[in-house]
Amino acid sequence: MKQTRREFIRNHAVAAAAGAAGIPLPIDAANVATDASETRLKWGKAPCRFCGTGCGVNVATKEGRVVATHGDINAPVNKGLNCVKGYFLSKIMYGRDRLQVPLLRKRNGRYDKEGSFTPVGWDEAFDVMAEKFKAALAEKGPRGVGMFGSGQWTVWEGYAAAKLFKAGFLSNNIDPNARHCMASAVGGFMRTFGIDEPMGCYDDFEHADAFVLWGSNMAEMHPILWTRLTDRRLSAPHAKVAVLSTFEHRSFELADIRAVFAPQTDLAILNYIANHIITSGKVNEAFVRRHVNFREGARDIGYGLRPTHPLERKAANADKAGASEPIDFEQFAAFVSEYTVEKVAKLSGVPEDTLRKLAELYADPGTKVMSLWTMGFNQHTRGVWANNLVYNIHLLTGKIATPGNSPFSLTGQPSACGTAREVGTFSHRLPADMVVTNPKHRALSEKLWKLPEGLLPDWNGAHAVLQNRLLKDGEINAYWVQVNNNMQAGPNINEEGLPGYRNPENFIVVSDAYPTVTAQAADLILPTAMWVEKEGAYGNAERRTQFWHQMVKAPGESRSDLWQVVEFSKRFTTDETWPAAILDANPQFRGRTLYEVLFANGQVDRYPLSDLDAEWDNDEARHFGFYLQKGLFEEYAAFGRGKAHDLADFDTYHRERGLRWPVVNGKETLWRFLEGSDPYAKPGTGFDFYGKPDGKAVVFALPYEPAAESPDGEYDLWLSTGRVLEHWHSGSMTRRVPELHRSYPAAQVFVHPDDARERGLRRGDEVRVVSRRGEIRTRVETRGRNKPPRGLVFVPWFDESQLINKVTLDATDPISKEADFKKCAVKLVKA
Amino acid sequence: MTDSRECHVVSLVVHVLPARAHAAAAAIGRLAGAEVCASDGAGRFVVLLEAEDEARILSAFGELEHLEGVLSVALVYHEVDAA
Repeated sequence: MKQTRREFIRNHAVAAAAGAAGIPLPIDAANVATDASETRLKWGKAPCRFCGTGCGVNVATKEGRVVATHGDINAPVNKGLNCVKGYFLSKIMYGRDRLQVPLLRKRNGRYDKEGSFTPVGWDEAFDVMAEKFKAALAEKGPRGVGMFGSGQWTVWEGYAAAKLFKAGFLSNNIDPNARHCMASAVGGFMRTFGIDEPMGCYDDFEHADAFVLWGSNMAEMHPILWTRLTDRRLSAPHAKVAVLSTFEHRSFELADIRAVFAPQTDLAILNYIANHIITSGKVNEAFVRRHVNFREGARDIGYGLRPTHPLERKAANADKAGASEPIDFEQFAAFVSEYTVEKVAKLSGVPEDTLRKLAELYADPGTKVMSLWTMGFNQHTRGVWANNLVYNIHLLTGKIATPGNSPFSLTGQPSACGTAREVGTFSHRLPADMVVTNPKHRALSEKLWKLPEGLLPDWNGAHAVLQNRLLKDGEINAYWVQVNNNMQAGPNINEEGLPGYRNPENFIVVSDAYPTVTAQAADLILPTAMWVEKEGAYGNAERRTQFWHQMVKAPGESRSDLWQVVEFSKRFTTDETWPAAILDANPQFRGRTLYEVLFANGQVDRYPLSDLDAEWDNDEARHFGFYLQKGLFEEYAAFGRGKAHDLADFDTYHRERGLRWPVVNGKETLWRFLEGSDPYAKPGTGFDFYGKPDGKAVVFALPYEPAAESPDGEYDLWLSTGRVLEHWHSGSMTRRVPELHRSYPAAQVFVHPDDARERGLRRGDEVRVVSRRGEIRTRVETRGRNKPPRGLVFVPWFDESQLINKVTLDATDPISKEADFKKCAVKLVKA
Repeated sequence: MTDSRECHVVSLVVHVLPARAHAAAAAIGRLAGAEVCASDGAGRFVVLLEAEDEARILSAFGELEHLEGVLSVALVYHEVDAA
């Protein structure tokens, strides 16, 4: 009997894998009945909680707990496959130290910044929090409050938070942690195309003849997309893979062209490729003539440090970093002509022959190329430039927006696109790519939100790095952090992070499921519902919007971020937060709560509880008395419909395995800007880059400029930080999965064996990694998955016992304001 | 932590450089609890893992990933067969 059952499971497992891989099996093995044991479980669908790939998973619940997850065979993204992090998804909610009640720092029974964390009820938590926010608003106005959110917020959570801050508190001091992750990609898209997010999609993996990884280590960071890439390579043996990075990593195993380049010289390599395309006569002239403009950007733009920093004082154009002037093709050709193969080989350390082979992938008209990048380009003091420059080479050759020709910006968070970018949670943005400084955009937002004219603030709020500086300087005094761990993730936390949180003038609130280092630096911790403990929606890197239902209850007193934001809004009235002039002109808004004017506004509360799917819980809807998520989504969707950001109606997404926007007449869009594929590309254009008024994308002339800090006599090594396969970001979830924790318990510093030897270090030695700002203790690793070249060390940042961001520098791209976590100078000292 | 009589059955899709496929298949077969159950001859393998606990699955996963010629490893199905 036992044997039969085991055989049955084995056959089922093999059949599932063969199905996912497209390998035919003998009939008897493939003929598997439905597993009876599965029927005891209740199954639902959800996108994975981790990276921006957006894999579909089936989630099994039993007696109020998530007990199993597996890749969803019907999900177009992953087709039944799962990576190791996804495999352990069912365990992320059940860490032993899960927070279950609000915790307030108290001494002698009262809130005290120097007190100890004490359990309190939600009422007391919100009483103290509201008092602190009101005091900051009274003293400093809207600039005295701030919020730091996340690309892990669900779509409606980010939308509700942005609405509360921008329209309720009239403060644009709200930013997502996507600032650390995708801001340079956004800047690149907006500058080149005038509209955010990739034109292509994951279907490009099955069409490309060549893949170029710019810095990205997809094998570890986007394993399922990497599997799609390797699958293409196995199906199409002619397909080539080029892997470029500042150190050798796992993705190099598949590389036909491999290049380890000196940090920051990616800019020069990109310009060399443009130069090669031009000098070898491979410019797609018809495409360029019809669809491309040329501009030259400002140079010497500084490094986004504090204005008093010598590097900022020295920079000629720090105050107009995003400026550019029109040029023509000939001027562009002359601009890049200095980037010869000889010069760039010398600068980058990449052999001339390798550079030529790489350039030829782009230049050869018969090769469809997919370029892929993530943090290597984005976390870069010239990150927007790097994004612009990779679009240059796709635009010069016309290799764009068609199947397999795809410059593709990967994302690190599950809803960096769907939430952080699309709903307008950045400090300069409103929904659907609109910006706070544009009066027309503010007017449209006021209209769609049914709010008084002239209400919305016109100033760019503080971005992530600036928020920390303003907290330290005592300019922002009431601050709320949701779904992120910035005391571990932010740059230069010794000098620019912790001082602001512990500044006696400030009140810091952190909503989280676990006691992260950020939560421990706060004054009030709010326990948060996670993932399938609430109804949610994420948008992945290929513009795919995906929904899930609440499948289990959150533990104890935990409440979703959405509940927290909307419930907190009840504690403020318009008289406390809006100017008297606005209320005088619009007396019907006087004395109303922010909850009434923002959420119970006749739009957000228009869908009754009877619209809920009776199969599933919805704690927020039951609490507020209406289908809150649906109301928020539909109000938000009105911003993008008819404006090339069209989303389908709410209920559709609960049925579908996601749809890629724009969704017009029920049909998703695979390749944007391409006539016949994108309904917004006008007939007769062929390609229509409609984000720009004249329908033309922009090729930018931008130079190579050095990094903010380079190794010198004393700090003689480059430091790059990053991730590992087993852990997601700061490890607040994956380190609580015992199996994942045990398999990679502690960070190490990866060092070239010769660099170690010269410093008298051996593998396993304890060592201090020291910069001008701070240091950590770790252990030396000279073997293993990452192999740095001489002169560079790599430290992963998942380990909260080794906070490598005490060492990094808070230099940012002056255009995108995204920090460079990949380049600063350190030394290694034997501990 | 886990009942020692539990058996975790996991299936994987493994991609291998075609030139190394033969050697990789043999190496996979030598891993404790692993078995190659199907192959398409072009570098795609279905591998079945049986292990006493999930920690062993994770370590086997790591060993598979580090075999020469292995390009990617993805999980598909998992079931615990309790004794």
